[in-house]
Amino acid sequence: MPGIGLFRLIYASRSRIGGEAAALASILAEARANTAVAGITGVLLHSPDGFAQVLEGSLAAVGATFERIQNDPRHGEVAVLEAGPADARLFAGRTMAAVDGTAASDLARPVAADPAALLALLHRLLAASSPAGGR
Amino acid sequence: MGTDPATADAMPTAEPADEAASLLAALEGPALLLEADGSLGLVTAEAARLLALEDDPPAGLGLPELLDRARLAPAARAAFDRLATPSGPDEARLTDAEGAAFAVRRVALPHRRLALLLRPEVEAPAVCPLARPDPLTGLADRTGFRAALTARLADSADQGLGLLMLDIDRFRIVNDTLGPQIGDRLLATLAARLRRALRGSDLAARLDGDEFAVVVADTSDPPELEGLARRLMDVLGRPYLIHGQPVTVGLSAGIARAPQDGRDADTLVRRAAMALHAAKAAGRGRCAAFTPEMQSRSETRRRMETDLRRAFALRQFALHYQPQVDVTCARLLGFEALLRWRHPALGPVSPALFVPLAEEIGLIAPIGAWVLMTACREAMRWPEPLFVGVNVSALQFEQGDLLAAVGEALRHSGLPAHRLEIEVTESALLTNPETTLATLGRLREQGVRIAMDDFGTGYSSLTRLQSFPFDKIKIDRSFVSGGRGVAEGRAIVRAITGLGTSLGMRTIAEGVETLEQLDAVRDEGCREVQGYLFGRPAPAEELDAVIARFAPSQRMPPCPESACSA
Ligand SMILES: Cc1cc2nc3c(=O)[nH]c(=O)nc-3n(C[C@H](O)[C@H](O)[C@H](O)COP(=O)(O)O)c2cc1C
Repeated sequence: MPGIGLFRLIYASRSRIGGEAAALASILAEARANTAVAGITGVLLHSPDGFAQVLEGSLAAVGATFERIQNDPRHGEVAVLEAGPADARLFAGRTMAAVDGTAASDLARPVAADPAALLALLHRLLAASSPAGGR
Repeated sequence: MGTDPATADAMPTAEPADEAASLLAALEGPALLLEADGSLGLVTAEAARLLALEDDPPAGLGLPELLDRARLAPAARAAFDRLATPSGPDEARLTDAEGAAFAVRRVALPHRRLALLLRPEVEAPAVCPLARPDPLTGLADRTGFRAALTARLADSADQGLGLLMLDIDRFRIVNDTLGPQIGDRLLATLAARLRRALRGSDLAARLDGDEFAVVVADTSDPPELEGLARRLMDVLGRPYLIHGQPVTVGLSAGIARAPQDGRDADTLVRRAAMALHAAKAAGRGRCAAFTPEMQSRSETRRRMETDLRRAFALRQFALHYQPQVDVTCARLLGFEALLRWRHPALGPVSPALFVPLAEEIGLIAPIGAWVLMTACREAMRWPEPLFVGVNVSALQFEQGDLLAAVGEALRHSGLPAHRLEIEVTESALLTNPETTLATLGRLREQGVRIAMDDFGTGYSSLTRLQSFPFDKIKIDRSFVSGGRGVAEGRAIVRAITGLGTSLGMRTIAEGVETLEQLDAVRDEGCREVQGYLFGRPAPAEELDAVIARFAPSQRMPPCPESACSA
């Protein structure tokens, strides 16, 4: 596996913070601050039930970030939906945008989601939440 | 460990200013905040303590000056300094002047500010001068672990402590399918997760291979230990990304407590291992705490193991033979040889108990060879064309040279190959289909007959029957006895018999004990039968009488005329 090319990973997980606002705020802050340094772009979708996240960047950066997230007790039942080399960033210019998926009924159980549907949903929600988004 | 190149253009630029403060608050603990110009914005009290700063550093101090005041080894000081450069590595492991280790990680904040997060790494090496780290994972190895556990047991007398043992379910499969490099990476990353998930006062070790242990300080409270075990199984069982490839493994855990389950390291380790063994036996992905029954069960097992070895050495085994009969004309076809062990104290021990044990301790191949030899020699005394059926275990295809054992038994006894029938179970065909089928093929070429035993119980499939030209299918007794429902049993007997007919294989119903059962299997088209109705397994000395009873001149009681129409 080449270490230089672009790599994308999508996972879904179940929340263990029960939609608590302060806990969520610190997760979002950490995600944004850390991923910026690592040159990672992506999106973090959250609902009271769970999370879904797209991480894109170098394999080393995505690997290190994903591993850090895996250690986090604030979520669990992590399922990798997609992992592999990518041609282009889908979320270029997004240093881990946060998206509230509470209203999206199909996200009640993100762990069971299929990656394509999840990606489509992420894009839709992103476009709706911040029209200025994207590069 | 992140060594990601920092890309300046990915830095967020227009974030709310108070986010830095809330971030630092969220990351309570030892941390430094560096302003965009490199000056110190904030040093938390924990960080000051960790760096052994004498008094509060004045605001506006530069990082180099701060580091001058800290008690750091020179190399550590330089590494720390490099962390403040956004293009450098974003994480480093350092030691202070006294040799205590801690990790520092850089986190970029809005407005080009940086946070340096400090994390002490208390691995308690002080308690344990012998602790050598395992080179792959950096955890203590078995020797170091034992020494550390002994030391801790000595000074934790009051609170007690917990010992967890964890191992990866089917790690060998990961290694075999993905390669040892991925396996090693997995072990190293798993170990890092383990270390992170523990408190500084707990001690983690890699005992060997994929087996890990944790000494949990200060508690022997069962719910607490079980909670920790479950948390570890959760975190370590989450997917790993290894060389870009997601890998997921499951874990099992065993728990032992001091002083309740043992006061010395060896006892405790043994008992945690017993609990782990029980967890795996109960189906993996589980956690079990040691119980005294595990001890007695394992003692029984060990005693049984010794006895079994002795029994084999002294040939305390015997073979009993059960007749197989063609019910259409009440003709005796041959006998199945059944292994018996009379334990000097316990009496007869069921093969269902001692055969798996013999398999586990590597005794099955020699026992199997003895069975073949004895059965063939005995069969030589029977009139032609009576045959003898001999069961072979799946492991005999792997551990022993079955072809050689059969060849030797036939040669020594002088029994013609066609009078020997080898019975294999479906599970034997499952474990290693290629070698098993190849061996069976060679045996069949030599004229030995092959029977499929206990058909219908395991993972029966038509393709398995088609994968080899079996001479005979033995229908499992559970379909005959009605144990699975009489109607269902009959339907299955009918299906298997039909299958056998179309594949050119004979079928025999096992476990026929009553006339009703005999009528039922016969009505479903089954010609051959084995069971108490036609004779219990009997020692070799009694077979002459059995053979005489079936001689053509004698009338067979349980053979109604209507049966002889097929
Ligand atoms: C759902 C979820 C998503 C997260 N996403 C990120 C992320 O994208 N980048 C990141 O650095 N941390 C992320 N975190 C936080 C990390 O798990 C971790 O807590 C944080 O990086 C601090 O790491 P540390 O414990 O090594 O200091 C996330 C946490 C959760 C629960």
